[in-house]
Amino acid sequence: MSIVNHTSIKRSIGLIVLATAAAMGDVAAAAMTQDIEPKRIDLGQAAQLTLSASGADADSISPPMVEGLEFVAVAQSQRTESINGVSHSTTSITYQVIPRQVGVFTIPSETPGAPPVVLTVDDAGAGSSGRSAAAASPQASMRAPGGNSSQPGAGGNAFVRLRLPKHDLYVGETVPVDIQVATRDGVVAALNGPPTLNGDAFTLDKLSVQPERTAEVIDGKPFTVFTWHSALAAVKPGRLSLTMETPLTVRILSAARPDSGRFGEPDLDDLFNDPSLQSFFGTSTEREVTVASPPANFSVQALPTQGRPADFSGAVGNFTVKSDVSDDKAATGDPITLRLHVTGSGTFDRVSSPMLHDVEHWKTYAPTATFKPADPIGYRGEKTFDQPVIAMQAGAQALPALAFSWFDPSTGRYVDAHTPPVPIDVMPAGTAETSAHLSSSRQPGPSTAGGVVPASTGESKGFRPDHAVSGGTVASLLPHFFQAPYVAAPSLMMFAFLSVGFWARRRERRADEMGAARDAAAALQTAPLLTQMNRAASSSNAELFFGAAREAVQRALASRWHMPPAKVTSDEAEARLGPETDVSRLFELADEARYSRVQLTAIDIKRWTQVVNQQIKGEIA
Amino acid sequence: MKKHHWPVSMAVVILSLSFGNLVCLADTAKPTMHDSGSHDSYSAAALYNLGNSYARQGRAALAVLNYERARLLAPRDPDIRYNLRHLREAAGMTSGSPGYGEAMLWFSPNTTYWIGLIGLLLAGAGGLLWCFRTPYRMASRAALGAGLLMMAFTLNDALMIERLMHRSVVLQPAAASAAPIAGAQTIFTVPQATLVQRLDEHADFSLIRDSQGNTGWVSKNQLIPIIGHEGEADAKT
Repeated sequence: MSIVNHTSIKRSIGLIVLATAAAMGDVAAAAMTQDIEPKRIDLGQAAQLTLSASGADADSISPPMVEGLEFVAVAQSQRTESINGVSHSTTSITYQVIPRQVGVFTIPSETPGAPPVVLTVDDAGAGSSGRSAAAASPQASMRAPGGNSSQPGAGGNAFVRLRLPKHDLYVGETVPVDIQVATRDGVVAALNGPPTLNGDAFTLDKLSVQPERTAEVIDGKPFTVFTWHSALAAVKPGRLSLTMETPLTVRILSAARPDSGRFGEPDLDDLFNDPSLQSFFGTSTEREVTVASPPANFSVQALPTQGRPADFSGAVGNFTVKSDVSDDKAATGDPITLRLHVTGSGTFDRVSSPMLHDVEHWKTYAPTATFKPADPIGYRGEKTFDQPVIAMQAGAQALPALAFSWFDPSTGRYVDAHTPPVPIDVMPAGTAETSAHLSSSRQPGPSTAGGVVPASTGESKGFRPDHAVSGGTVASLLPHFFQAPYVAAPSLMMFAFLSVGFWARRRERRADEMGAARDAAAALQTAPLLTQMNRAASSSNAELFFGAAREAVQRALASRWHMPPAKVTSDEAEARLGPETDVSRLFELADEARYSRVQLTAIDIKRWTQVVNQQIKGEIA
Repeated sequence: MKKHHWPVSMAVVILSLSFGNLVCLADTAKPTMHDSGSHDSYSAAALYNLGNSYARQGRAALAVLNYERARLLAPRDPDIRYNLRHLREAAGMTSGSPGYGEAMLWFSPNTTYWIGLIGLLLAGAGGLLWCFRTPYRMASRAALGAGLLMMAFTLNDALMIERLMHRSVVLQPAAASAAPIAGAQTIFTVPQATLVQRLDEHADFSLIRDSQGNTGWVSKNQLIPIIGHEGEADAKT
C-alpha cells in the first residue's frame, strides 16, 4: 500500500513538473512586445499602444492597468509567417491611450524582463488652467506632439499647427492629422478658407468640412482654435517637409494706437494692446494675410519590393480579415452572399479583393464593396466585400479561402492573410424536403423603412423566379452606338457606298466628255460630206448623195470604233449594230445608186440626211 | 443588257464585304467567359437573377440597378418588368421614374443598332443601283426607301438611348444641395433606389433631376449609372 502511494505521489509530481514546463513553454512561445507612439503628448490627446504577442491568439492579450490612463482597443491584426516550413503567427492589438491627468506614466510589460514603455503627458491648456501669462509663450504652450511647434503669424495673433501621431512614414501610408488654426479674438476678423497644403510630396484627403471650434487662453490672451481632421499620405520617399497655410483677415489699428511696451510693464502693455480697448482709441483697417505652419519634417520610405505578395493592392495599415456567408445551407440555383470583412486602420481606398473567380460547381457574380468608417476621416473602419454566388451542384460544397494582403508599417512587413474555406450544405432545388430544410434554417432579414425592401425568407415573396442563364450575352452594357468598332462599321460602309457612287458619276461624266469630243471631231470631218449631200440632193444626184452619206457614216463610225473608215463595211456594221439597221440599208442604197439608177425623192433625202446626222452625233448606237 | 451586270456585281460585293464585317463584329461581341461572374459578359437572365438576389437581401438600390440593366438587354421580358414593379411597390417607391421610354420596349439598343446597319446596307445598295441606272429601278427604289426608314428608326432610338446614358440609381438616400460644394444647403432628399437623370458634373458632384423635376447637386459616390463603366460602378457599391 505504501508502495502504491509512493508511486502515485511520484506520478503526481511528474505531472505537475510537466504541466509547469508546458506552461513555461507557452509563456516563452507567447513573448510579448509593446510600443507606444508618440511617447510625449498633451493632456487631451491620445497615444497608440501596440501589444504584439508571438505564437498566441488575441485572447491572451489584455490591456495594461495603469492609474490615470485609459486603454481603448481600436485595431487587431494577425500575421502568419512560414519559415523553413514552420508556421509562426503574431497577433497585435492596438490600444488608444487616453490620459486622465498630467504626469509621467510607466506601462509595464507582461513579459518578465522586458523593458516598460514610458508616456509623458504635458499640460496643454496651461493658460486656461490658470497658468500665468508670462510663464509661457504661445510657442511653448502650443507645442504639438512629435516636435511640431507652432509659429505665430500675423503679429503673433494667429498661427497654424499640425498634430501628427508619427513622422516616419511609408509611401502610401495614411496617418490622421489634426490641423489647428488659432486666431486671436478681436484681431482676426475672418478665416478666408480651409487650410491648404504646400508642396507636392503629400496628399491631404477627407478634410473635414466644418472645423471644430474651441476657446483657449494662450499666454494670457483669448484665442479661438479651429481644428480640421484629415488624413495625410506621402506620395514619394525621402526626407520631406510639409507646411500648411490658411488665409485670414486681420484688423490693424491705423491711428491713436498706444505704442507697444510704452509702459515698460508687460501687464500694462497687454492691457492697452487689447483689441477691445484699442477700438476706443482709433479706427482699424482689415488686411488679408496668410499664416503658415512651421515645417514638419518626415522620413518617408518606399514600400519594400522584397516579400511583396502578388495580389498586393497597395493597402497600408493594420487590418484583420474574416469571411462569412449569408446562409450555410442553400439549394442549387439559390443565391447566397459571401462576405469578406476587412477591419482596422489605414488606406481603405486601396483595400480591394478579387474575391472568387471560376470556382467549380459555383457560379460567381461581381463583388460589391461597402465601407463603414469608424471616424470622420475614414482612417478606421470596416470594408465589406459582398459577392453573390450560386451553387450549381448539390452535395457538401465549400467556398474556397479568400486572400487579402497589405503592408503593415508598424512591423515594416507585408501581411498575406487567408480566411478559412466556408462549408456549404447544398441540396437539390425544388424538393419539398429542401424547402422545409431551408425554411427552418433561415432567419428573417432586417425590415427597414424608407425605400428598403424587406428581406424575404426562403422563397422570394411576390417575385417571379430566377431564369435559366443560357446564351444571349454581351461583352458590355454600353450600347453598340457608343462603342468605337461598332461606330466604325457603318461609317466604313457609308464611305464605301459613297466612294462607289462618286466613282460611277465621275466615270459617266468622263464618258460624256469623251463622246462630246469625238462627236465634235466627227462633225468636223463630215461637214464637207454633208455639204456634198446637200448639193447632190438639190441636183437629184442619187449616186453622189448616197456615196457622200455612206462616207460620212463610215467616218463617224470609224471615229467611234477606233478603226480606219475603209474598214467600216456593211458586214462590220451588221456585226456591231445588228442586221437590218439604217446603216446597213444606207450602205446597200449607196451600192445600188452606184451601179443602177435610183430615184431620189424628197422624203428619201430628208430621211437619210437625218440618219446621217444621227450617226454623226452618235445618237443611235 | 450585259452593260448592267457590273454595277449589280459591285453592289453584291459591297454587301458581301459588309456582312463579313458584321459577322466579325458579332464575333467580337461574344463573351470569352460565358458564365463568369466577372465583367467579361452580361446576360439579361444573369442580371435578372442578380436583381432577384439583391431584392431578397433587401438591397433595393442594387436590385433596381440590375433589373434596369436586365431590361436594357431584354426589354420585352415580362418577368423583369413584373419584379421591378413589385420591388418598387414593396419599397414604397413612386412609379414616377419608370426607367427609359416605353417606346424602347420592342427592341434592345443593340438590336436597334443592327436594324440600322441593315437599313444602311439596303439604302446603300438601292442607291447604287439607282445611281447606275440599272433596269432594277423598282427594286432599287424599294431597297432605298426601306433602308432609309430603318435608319430613321435607329436614329430616333439612338437619341433616346443617349438620354438613357445619363440615368443613375441612387445608392443611398442622398441630400441634394444647391451648390456642388461640401456643406451647401440641402434643398431636397432623394430616396435610395430612385432613378435620376444626370445633367452635369462638377468635381465630386453630379447635378441630378428626379422624376418630380427637382434638380440639385448630389455626391457622385451616391449614384450608380445604369450604363457606363460597369466595373467602376460596381466597385463603388
